[in-house]
Amino acid sequence: MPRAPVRGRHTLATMGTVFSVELGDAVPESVLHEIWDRLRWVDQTFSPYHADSAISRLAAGRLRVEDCDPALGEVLDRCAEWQRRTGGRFSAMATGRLDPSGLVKGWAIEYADELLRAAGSTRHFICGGGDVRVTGGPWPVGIADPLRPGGILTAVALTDAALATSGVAERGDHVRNPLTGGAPRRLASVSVIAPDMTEADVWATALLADDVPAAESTAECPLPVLSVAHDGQRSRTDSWPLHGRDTADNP
Amino acid sequence: MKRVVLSIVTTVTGLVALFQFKSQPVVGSVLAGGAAGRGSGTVTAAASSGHRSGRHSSPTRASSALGGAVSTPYGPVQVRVTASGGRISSVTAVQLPSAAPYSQRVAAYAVPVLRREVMQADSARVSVVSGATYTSEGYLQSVQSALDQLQL
Repeated sequence: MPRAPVRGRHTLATMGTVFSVELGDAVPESVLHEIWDRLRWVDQTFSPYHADSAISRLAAGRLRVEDCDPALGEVLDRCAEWQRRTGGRFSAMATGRLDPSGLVKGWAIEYADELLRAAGSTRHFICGGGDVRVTGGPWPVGIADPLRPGGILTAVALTDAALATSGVAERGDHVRNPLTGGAPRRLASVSVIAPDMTEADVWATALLADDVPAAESTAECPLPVLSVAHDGQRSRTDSWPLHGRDTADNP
Repeated sequence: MKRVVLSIVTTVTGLVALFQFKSQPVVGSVLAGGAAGRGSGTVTAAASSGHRSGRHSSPTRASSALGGAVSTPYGPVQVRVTASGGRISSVTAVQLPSAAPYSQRVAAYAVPVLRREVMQADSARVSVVSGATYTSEGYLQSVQSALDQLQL
């Protein structure tokens, strides 16, 4: 028998950040534990900062993909697929060493969302280090202002969607353009809305690395995008949800 | 589009009157995407209140109503509005267009929440922040400051 049902806000620190789950519907406590166990496992397996993680051993040639948990092969396949779909702007080798971090967090969050939905939840969100996946809604989601720590740039209400923000304030040192090797200089953050967390996460990373304001991007990203430059200039795609009284400078 | 907009707004306005909702009802768009995203819809700044287990409003039995299905150039749109404690607590899209371009369909899952109106709506909260700083400390600070701002 599952233990007592839980709801409300729960948090776990892992992967160098904090994950929070807001349960609008009660789910068995065992489901929450399963999510935490999974996130810890993903951290242990995919962290390039743990010398003993499978990804570090793989990168060092001490382990073969065939000998790994099938999840590793799946992640590396997905990285290759996203490298193709982003026109090379996303790569698990962007920093010169094997590091699928740009995909793994979103992928893990998507898995957690699936666990909750499988448990019958219709109203919840999962947030990990600024990546937000909501089921049901609308949930009001703020977007952090990269130039004003603690400030909010804007907010959108999401229903059954994902929002990722990649910013240099968070992990800029780790973002590299796989095509040029350069770090973003112009953009401070990029936010992407997608139906799926992996997709939002990968595109936010890729477009930040590309360092081109959203409205000028030549990347074939089919999603709503909002970018903020270091000089404060905001740029958005036409599809970014915008209030009638807002202006392009104040999305 | 105008007729569509009026039709949905009428539905919500009726509810607003019914529940004596204090703020301006029209904030975002359930149609969203492209031109339709610019002020054509009905989601309210108080759309958040229902999810925060009523810290502000006293617990009241929730009521909900299904709006009529409305045809748009992109396909039919239908919303369900839930009110609780005298406020609109959620607006959920029951039907959304599927023929629209991909980015517009995705945008339809997201409606803008005007910062000013979020801040004015005394029961509104930003549930969570995207792009919060990467460390746990920064994350907590950012969330806290967001909540502080919105309670102004």
